Amino acid sequence: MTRRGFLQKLIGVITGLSGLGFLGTVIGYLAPRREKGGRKILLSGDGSPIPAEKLKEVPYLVGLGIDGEPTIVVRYEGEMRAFSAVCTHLGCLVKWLPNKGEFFCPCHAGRFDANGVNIAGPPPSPLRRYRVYVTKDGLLGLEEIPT
Amino acid sequence: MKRWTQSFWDWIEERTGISRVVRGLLTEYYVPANLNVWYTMGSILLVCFVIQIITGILLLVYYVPQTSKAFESVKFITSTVPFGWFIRRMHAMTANLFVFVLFLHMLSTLFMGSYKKPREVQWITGLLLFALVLVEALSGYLLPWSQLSYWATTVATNSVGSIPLIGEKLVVWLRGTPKVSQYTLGRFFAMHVSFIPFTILVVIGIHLLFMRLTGISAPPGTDKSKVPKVPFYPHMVMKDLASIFVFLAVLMLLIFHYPQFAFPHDALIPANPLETPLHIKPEWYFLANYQTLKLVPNEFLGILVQLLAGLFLFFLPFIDRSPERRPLKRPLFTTLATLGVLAYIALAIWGHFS
Amino acid sequence: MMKRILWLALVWVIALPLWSEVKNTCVECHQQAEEEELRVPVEQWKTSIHYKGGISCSDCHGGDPKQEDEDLAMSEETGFVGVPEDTEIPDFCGKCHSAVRDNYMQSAHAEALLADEDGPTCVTCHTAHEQQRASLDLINEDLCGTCHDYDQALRLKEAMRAMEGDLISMEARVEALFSEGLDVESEQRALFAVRNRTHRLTHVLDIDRILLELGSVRADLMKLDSRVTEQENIVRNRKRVGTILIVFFLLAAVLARMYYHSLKEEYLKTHGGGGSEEPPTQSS
Repeated sequence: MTRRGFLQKLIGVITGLSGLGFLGTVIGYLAPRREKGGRKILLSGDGSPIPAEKLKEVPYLVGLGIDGEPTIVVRYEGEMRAFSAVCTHLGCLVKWLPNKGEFFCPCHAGRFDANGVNIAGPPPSPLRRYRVYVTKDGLLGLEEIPT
Repeated sequence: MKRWTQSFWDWIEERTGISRVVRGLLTEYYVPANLNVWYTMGSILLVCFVIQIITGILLLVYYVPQTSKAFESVKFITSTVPFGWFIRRMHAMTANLFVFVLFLHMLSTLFMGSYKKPREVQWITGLLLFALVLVEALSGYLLPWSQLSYWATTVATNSVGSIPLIGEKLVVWLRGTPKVSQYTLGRFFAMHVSFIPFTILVVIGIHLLFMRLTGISAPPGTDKSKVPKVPFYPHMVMKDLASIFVFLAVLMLLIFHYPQFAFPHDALIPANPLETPLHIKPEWYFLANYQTLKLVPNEFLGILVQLLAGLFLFFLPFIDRSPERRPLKRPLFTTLATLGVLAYIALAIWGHFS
Repeated sequence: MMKRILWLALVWVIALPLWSEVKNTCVECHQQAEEEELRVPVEQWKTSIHYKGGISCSDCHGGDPKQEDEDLAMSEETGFVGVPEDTEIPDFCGKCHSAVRDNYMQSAHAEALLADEDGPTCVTCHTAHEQQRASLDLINEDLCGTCHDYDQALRLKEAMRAMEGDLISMEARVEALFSEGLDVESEQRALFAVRNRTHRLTHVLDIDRILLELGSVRADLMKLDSRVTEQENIVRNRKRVGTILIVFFLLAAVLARMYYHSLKEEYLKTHGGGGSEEPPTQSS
């Protein structure tokens, strides 16, 4: 290779590297942030914790759960159950139909049974389930169930 | 890969004959082979503009233009967002270098007499760009809502108040309220991220268009029709690139080793409208103006002097009409210009230490 | 603590101009007094830190400096106390220096004072009217040796001095990080707490207790030290990357320059000099 040919390649590589380096910086800068981890209590939209008492007044609660995931807590057959409220179809939030014991998604009429299993409509998979308990402060604690 | 890009190129070429345009713009655009390093300042300035646009957009991602949140959001960028400190410092340091290289670009034009016929439009649009970049720098200064931001803006907008009759009204109008406030932040923000950059872009377009229409000047003392020519690409581009790399090295030096240059102590504490910091001084590029205002007993006179100086520069191509461009063959102009530059630097240094 | 300092600062700022404008009959009369012992306090006071800080006679002694009449100016209603008893002195100074008073009251000095009314009081070390900015130099053989062995005092002084030096250097390090634009708010707060704890210790004067407390303060300082060191490493690494980038770009500039020259030479050799190749559009 001639000296000039070599120089040309080198300049190309250097310019490319500078560009790539800057691009890397930009990608890092724009990297999505995880919601604050370690928050394992059901919160209302404004960030305040929801007392477990509340579930006695209403048939179900929707709040922000682990990693900010919208979470639905229902009382069914005397026990509390918690699921991700995000429909596995296109991400709308499901509602609880206490009379039928089913979850219902208002967007495309998807339905899930009381165990979160998809039973009708377009949803391709069950709702993600969480373990739920009342903390000693009377709040709703959530725990991931390892799969 | 090669085949795919080639056929894509052919596809465009077949429809548009684009290669003719590219040749005319780059490979068959000939410039004098003896262009000196001062002719590369323009390309550095273009790089500055591009850096400011890119880093500016990135800062916009996290910045909140609200007095109670602005400082926090900037602090979030510099201490929490990955590389946020780097992007912010790059934006601030490039702003400084932008103004500095603009000075160099204008001074070389001045001493090489490149503003003369037929290049008057470049000179005038260039001056306009200089003014626009200064306004851009000033408006950006307020956005972090630090002590420095707040008080520098208070002082800068205040100096407009010495204009007779309308001065007082103009200050309030600039600020949106009698004192610098959320309203000021709002209009400065809109100006900084939208109105001024777009205007700059348009004026750069005119500046470059006229440069291509008149052709670039040859260095003074050389006859453009006789000097050898080289194609713009790759020759001149490589020359530009060398200067751009030097610029980037200086930029890195400032970003990594001298952050205090753009962020002194007062820039690191949030604005407090009830407490003026002890040593409030404008940025280095406003120091000469600042000192002039302090020296001239009447504030309006001070502004008038600067306005006249600006106007004189603006009409320079029409005042100085001799075709001679060699600095040594026009001793009067060169002496005056040198004295002017020295006076400017002296005023700035004086302003810094006063 | 902070609040009290702020209040003092506020009082000081407001009081200073008032005091300098309003005439002060205490100073006027005592300056002209025939008896030397009435004159001297004013002269001494003018050399003190209190004078510089705008603290005047009535701030400590009570009385009303605006009254022309001697009896009215030093009447009982104004809370005037001319010469406090030794046992009253801690409260006398403690009107302003309350934290110091609290510490002093736990000391052996105070114990001695309360036991036989003969222990050292504030003025024993700080003087009654010539107080200077306090420093560790106040602990010296002449002063301490008047009443007791200096050894213990020296140990105390050395312990405090080491701590003071460490605090000052830590302050400089945190400030350096701050000026680099790093978020050091929690470090600044931790430093303030450590410094506060140290300074409160001064007047307890119980060497065992001070050493014990200093030990726990030092543990906090070490915790802070590791956090600051961590941040300093970030700054150092950044600067390293910066230097590499500077060298990289300078090298790139040299290479681009070399490439440009070789291109130009080659081109001018093959296409010849002169302006003959000038495309028709170019003219000037």
